[in-house]
Amino acid sequence: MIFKKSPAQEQPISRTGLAWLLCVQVFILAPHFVTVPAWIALVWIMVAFWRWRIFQGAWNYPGKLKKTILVFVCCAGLFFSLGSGFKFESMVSLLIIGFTLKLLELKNKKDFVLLIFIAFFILAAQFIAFNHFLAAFYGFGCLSLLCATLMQLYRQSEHDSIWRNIRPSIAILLQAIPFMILLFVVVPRLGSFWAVPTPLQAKTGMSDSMSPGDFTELMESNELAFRVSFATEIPAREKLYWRSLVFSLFDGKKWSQSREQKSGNYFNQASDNLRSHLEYKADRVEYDVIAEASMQSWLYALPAPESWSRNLAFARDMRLRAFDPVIERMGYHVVSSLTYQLNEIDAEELEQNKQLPKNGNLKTRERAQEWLAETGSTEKLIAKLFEYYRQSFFYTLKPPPLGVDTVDDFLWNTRQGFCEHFSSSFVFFMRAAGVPARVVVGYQGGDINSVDNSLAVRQRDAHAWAEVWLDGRGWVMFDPTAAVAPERVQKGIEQSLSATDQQFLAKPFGSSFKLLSLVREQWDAVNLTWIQWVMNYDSSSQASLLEKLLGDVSPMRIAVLMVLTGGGFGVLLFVLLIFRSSKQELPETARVYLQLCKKLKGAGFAPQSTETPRAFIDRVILSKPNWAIPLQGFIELYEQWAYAEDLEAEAKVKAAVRKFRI
Amino acid sequence: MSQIDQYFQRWISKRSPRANQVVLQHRTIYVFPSKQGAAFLVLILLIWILGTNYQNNLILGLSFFLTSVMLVSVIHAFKNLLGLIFIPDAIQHAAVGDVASFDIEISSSYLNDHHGLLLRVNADFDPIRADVIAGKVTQVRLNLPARHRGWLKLPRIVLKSYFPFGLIRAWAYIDLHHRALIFPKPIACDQPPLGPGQGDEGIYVSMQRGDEFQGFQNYQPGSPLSQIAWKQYARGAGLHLKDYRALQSEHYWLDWQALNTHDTELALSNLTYWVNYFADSNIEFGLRLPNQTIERGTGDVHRLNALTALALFGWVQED
Repeated sequence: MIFKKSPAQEQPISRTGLAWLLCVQVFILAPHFVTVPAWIALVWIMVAFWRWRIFQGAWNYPGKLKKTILVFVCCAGLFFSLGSGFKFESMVSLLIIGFTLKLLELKNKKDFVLLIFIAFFILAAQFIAFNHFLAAFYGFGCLSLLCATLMQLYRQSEHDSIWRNIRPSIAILLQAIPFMILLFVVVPRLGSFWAVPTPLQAKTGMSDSMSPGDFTELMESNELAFRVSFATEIPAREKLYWRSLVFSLFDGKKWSQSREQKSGNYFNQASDNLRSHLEYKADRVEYDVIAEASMQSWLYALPAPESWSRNLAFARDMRLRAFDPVIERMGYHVVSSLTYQLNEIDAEELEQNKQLPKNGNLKTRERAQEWLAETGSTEKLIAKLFEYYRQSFFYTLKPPPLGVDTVDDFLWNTRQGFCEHFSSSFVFFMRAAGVPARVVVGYQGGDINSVDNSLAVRQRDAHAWAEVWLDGRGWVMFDPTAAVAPERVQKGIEQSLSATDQQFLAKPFGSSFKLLSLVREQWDAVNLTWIQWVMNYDSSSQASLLEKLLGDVSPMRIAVLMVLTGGGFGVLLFVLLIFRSSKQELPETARVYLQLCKKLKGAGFAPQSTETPRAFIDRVILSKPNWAIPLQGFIELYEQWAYAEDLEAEAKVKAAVRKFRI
Repeated sequence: MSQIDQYFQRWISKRSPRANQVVLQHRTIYVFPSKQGAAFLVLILLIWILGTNYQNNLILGLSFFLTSVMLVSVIHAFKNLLGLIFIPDAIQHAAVGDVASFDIEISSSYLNDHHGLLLRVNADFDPIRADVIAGKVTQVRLNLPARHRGWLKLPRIVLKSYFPFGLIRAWAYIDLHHRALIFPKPIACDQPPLGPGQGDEGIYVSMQRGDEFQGFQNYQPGSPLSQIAWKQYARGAGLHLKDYRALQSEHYWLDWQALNTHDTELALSNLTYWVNYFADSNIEFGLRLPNQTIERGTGDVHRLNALTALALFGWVQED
C-alpha cells in the first residue's frame, strides 16, 4: 500500500541541490558570526570546499579518524574561545559546528533533509540576537531559500533560473502568511519553561551609582534608552523628567542606593499607605513605554506614577522597576500625575538622607552652615544657592578634573560641569545644612517623532537632579542644572552646548539635515510600530486584543474565531489555487482569433459556430469593404501561422489584431 | 488485520473503479503528513519551545509560519495530483519469467505542472518517477514480473507525490483496463512435436540447430536419402542436406498429440519453443491443440495467434 522506504530519499544529491544547500548555509550562518567565534567561518569554508571536491569526485569522504579529529579540534576551539560555562553562544556555536561538519557526511537525500531541518532551527536562533524588523525580512529571505532548496528535491526542473526555483516557494510562503498571523494572534503565550542563558550584550545605560565622569560616556551615546507613545498630549519638554533611580548614599566620591533602597521590601506596590504619602493632584498623562534591554531592573516613568502595568513594582522613593532585569525589550503602561505631593513620613528615611561622610569637603560644610544662618529658611537657602549657580557657573560636558574634595573643588573652584556635578554638589550642600536631600537620576526630555508623535529617549538624554525635603511640602524636586543651563531642559542637550562641546559629542544627530531627520523619524516610527505590535505582543496584549475582537475571551469563542478565519483562508486559497487554474487553455492561435472577434463584435459581427475564420472574415469584408485590406492581411497571416505553422507570422498576426480599429 | 485490509481494498475499488481512462478528482486523492512531515512537526515544536523560553515573538512567529507552510502545502500536494489524466498506451507482452511492461500516458487537464510523481505497482521494482508539464504528455513504462501464463492485468497503480516540501504525502489509486498476454515459458525439447500434415505426410526432418549454409545443412547420418543435396556432392562439396527452411516449400503441424506428455504446462512450453523456432526461421507451420486449431501460416500475426492460443490454453475467461 504505502512504500516501505521513501525512494526519493535514497537518491544521491544532485549538483544543483548541493550548490543550493551551500548557498543557503552562507545566508543562514552569516548573522551568527556577530556572536559566534569567527574561526568557525573558516571551518565552514574548508568543509564546504571539501564537500564540493567530494562531489566532483576529486576527494574522498573523511574516514572515522579524520572525523573524530575534526570534531575534537572544533570542540577544543570552542572551549578555548568561549570557556566552559554554558552560555547562549556556546549553544549556538555547537549547533553551527554540527551543522557544518554534517556536510562531510552528506551522502543521500535523507542527510540533505536533515541538514535543512537543522538550518530551520539555526535560522530561528538568529532572532535571539536580532529582532529588528529588518531581521524579520532577512529571515523571510532565508526561509524562502530554504524552502526552495527543499522543493528542489521534489521538482524536476533542475536547470531553471534561480528565480524560477525560488518563486514557487515564495508563493507558498506568502499564502501561509494569513494562517501565521492567525496563529500569532491566537496561540497562547506561555512563560519560559526553564531559565535560559541569555546572549552576551554590552551593558548600556546608567549604572546603579553615580561618580564624576560616569555621565560623560552616556551623553556621548546616541543609543536608544526607551520609547514612549502618549495616549494623552505630550507634556512640555521641561516637564519630562523620567525617574529611574534615587541615590541616598554618598561616600565622598560616589552616590548610590542605600541598603534599604536596594532591599526587596522597599516596594509597596499594593500597600495602602502609598495613597497616604503620595497625593495626586492634576495633569494626568497616560503613556506606553517600550524600554530597551538594559540588563538592569529599573525603568522609566514620569512622576508621579498613579497606575502601572501589573508586571512592575513601585518603590517607596517613587520610581518604577521590573521584578527581573530587563534582558529583552519590554513594554509597559503608566498613568502619571505631573502635579503631585510626596509626603513620605519615615524618620529613619529622613535621617538617612541627611547622612554625609565624616570627612572631606569642609569648605562646603562651613559655607552651608553660614548660608543657612544668613537666610534662615530652607527655601531661601535653596534660592540663594540657585542664585550662586546662576551667576558664576558654566555648563559643559568637558569640565576640568576635580581634586580629592570633589564638591568643594567644583562649588568654589572650577565651577564648570554638567548635571552630575550640579545635582551632586546641590544635594551635598543641602545635607551639610541639615536638610534631607537626595539625588535622582533618569532621563530628561527626548526627541519627539513628528510622524507618529512618539518620543524617543536616548542615552544622551541622561540627567541627574535633586529632591529636597521641605517641611509641609514633602519631597520637592529641584534641578540645579536648569538654573545654569535652562535650554538643556527646554530644548535638549544639543542646543545647550557650546560649539566645542557639540564637536565633542560629534555624533551625527542628523538635525542639520531636514530630509535625513525626516527619514530617520519615519524609520523610527516603523520600528516603533514593529516593536509595539510584533515584538511586544505578549499574553496581556493578546488578552486585550482578543477582547476587542471577540468581546469576551472564552475558549469557545477563540475556537470559533480560529475555525471561521482559518477555514475561510483555507477555502479562499483552495478556490484561488484550484479553480483559477482550472481554465482550459485555448491554443494561442484561437486566443488571437477570439481577440479579433471581440473587436468585430463591437461592430455587430459574430462568427457562427460552423464558420471558419476565413468564411467569417469574408462575410465581414462583404458588408464592410473598407476593412478589406487589414482583414485580408490578417487572415492570410493567420492561416500561415495556424495551419502552415509559420512561426514568423505569429508576431505579425498579433500586431495586426492590435492595430485593427473598428 | 487482513480483514481490515480487504475491506479497505474493496472500499478503494469502489472509489476508484477500473476504467479505460482515469482522471484524478478530489474524491480519489488522499493526503496525509509524511514521515518527514512528522519530523517537521517535532522541529516546529522545538522552535516554539525556543521562542517561548526566550519570550521571542520572532521565533514564535517562525514556528507559526512553519506550521502554516505545512498547512498550505496540504493544498499544494493535493493540487499536484488533481486533474491528472491516465490513459493506457502500448504493452509489451512477455513470457513467464520475463518482465511485462505497460505504457501509460499521463497528461494534465489543468494548466499547471505536476512534479515528482512516483508510480508503483509492484514492490519488486523501484517506483517510476515522472513529471507532467502543462500541455505535454508524459509517457511512463511500468514493469511487472510475468509469473503466470495467460492475461496479466495491470494491478492498481499507487501514485504518490511528496511535492512541494516532502512534508505531505498525497496519493491516489489508479485502476486502468490494461492487460498483457503472458506466454508460456519456451522450453526446448529434442524433436518438434510434429503431427500428420495434409499433403506432406511422412516427412520427418532432423531439425538440429546449427549455422545455416546457403540453404544447406551438414549431413547427419541417418537422414533420408531424398534430402541429400546430390548436386553439391557431385561437385565435390561434400555431403549436405537440403534445408527445408530455405526451400520454404515444406510446412509442418505442431501437434499437442505428438508430445505425449501429461504435464500440460511443459507441453505448452515445448510448443511455445517450437512456435518461436518456426516463426524465427520463417517456416510455415500450423498448430493443433486439443480444442483449437490454428491453420498454417507465417509471419508475426500468425505467430502471435499461435502464442495467444498457447497462452490462453485452458484459460477461463474472467471478464
